[in-house]
Amino acid sequence: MLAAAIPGYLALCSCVSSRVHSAIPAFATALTSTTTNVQTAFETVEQKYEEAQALELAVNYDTAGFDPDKVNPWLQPEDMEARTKLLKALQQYASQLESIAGKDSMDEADTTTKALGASLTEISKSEPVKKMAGEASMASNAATSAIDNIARWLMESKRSKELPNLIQQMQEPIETICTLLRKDIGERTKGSHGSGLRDQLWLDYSQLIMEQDSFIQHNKDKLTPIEKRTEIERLPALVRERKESDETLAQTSDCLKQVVKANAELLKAVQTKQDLRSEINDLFQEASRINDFAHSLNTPSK
Amino acid sequence: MGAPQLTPGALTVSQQDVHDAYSDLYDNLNQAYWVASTIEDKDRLHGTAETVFEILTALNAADIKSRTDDYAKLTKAVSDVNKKLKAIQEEMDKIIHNLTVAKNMADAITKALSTAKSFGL
Repeated sequence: MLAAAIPGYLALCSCVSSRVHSAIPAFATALTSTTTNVQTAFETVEQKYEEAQALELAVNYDTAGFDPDKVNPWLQPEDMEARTKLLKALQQYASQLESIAGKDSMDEADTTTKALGASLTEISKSEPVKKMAGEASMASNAATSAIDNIARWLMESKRSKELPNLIQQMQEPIETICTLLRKDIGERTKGSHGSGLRDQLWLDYSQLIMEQDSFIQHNKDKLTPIEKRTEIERLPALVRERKESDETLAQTSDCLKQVVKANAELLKAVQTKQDLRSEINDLFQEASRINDFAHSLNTPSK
Repeated sequence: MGAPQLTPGALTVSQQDVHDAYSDLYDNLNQAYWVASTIEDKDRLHGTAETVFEILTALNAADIKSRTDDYAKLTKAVSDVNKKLKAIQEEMDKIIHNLTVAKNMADAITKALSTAKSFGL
């Protein structure tokens, strides 16, 4: 009786299920990429600051020497740690959402139920059971199917009931987090004016360019023509890299704006029949592209 | 002696205003560096720019620090949701676990029946 009623329940759940299956994993991947990009942005700024410090030391070494106390990170460890913890928590949110909404749990239930069905069939083939029930094989197939349906229904109803509430609960924190992270990334206006990571990264590069030129000015008579060419070639390369890096940070900031929208859209996806895969996929593609470029920057310039 | 009276307009200089002023200075030093014609002039401008760079760097780090406490509060909010998600996952895992237990029981029954058969029972 219960087994007969279950397909009806499953039909009700199936609309939610297919939307959840498609939208949540795409959202989770996009959120993971975006948080990785933010983390990489902080690491890149720190790295370029270190490079500027190292080049400054090389340029001034003959006159100022080396003072170990002057070697400091740009950000205090506790400032970076607070952000890293939050970004990891967001990645965990994405990963758990994906794990719950993804097909893996359902597939595992199917696989385990099939294995159970095979075991029941084995029992039905044994002589004592054959004697007890003439159509044991048919009964075991029906039982397997019913168990599979019940398991799937229990899992589906659990997540379709709980997930919308939790996604809704995350909407406000995600909005605040993205606003704060966008403030951290900051903006650039004219000249050296700006704020946050974008301002610091621009400054790091501007300082690197000046230090590089100063290094060349002081050593141009001691460098071989090939060495001189290599050092001079770094100047325009740094100018180009400064612009590209700044654009990458600006795009990361835009992605954060999209994350807020995507979480709101995701909520709609689990509550209504709307299919939002294309919007979330746009975010995913942009975040992946930035990720590739940001990682290419995170290696020392020289 | 009460608190000193503030002149209207006093203490209105924000950290961003200070940052902007140093940014202007850095810009000017940077531009002057590139047009300076002697290495001595370049060195002087470069040395001053390094100092202003460190000031701007400290101001930017302070700006980032001003938001650090907010992140700690938000991490707690996200962790709370993560705990609830974990609980859902565990309940779903429990369903699969129960199926596995049922399968293991069925296997044990098959084995028992097979053993019984070999003893002619």
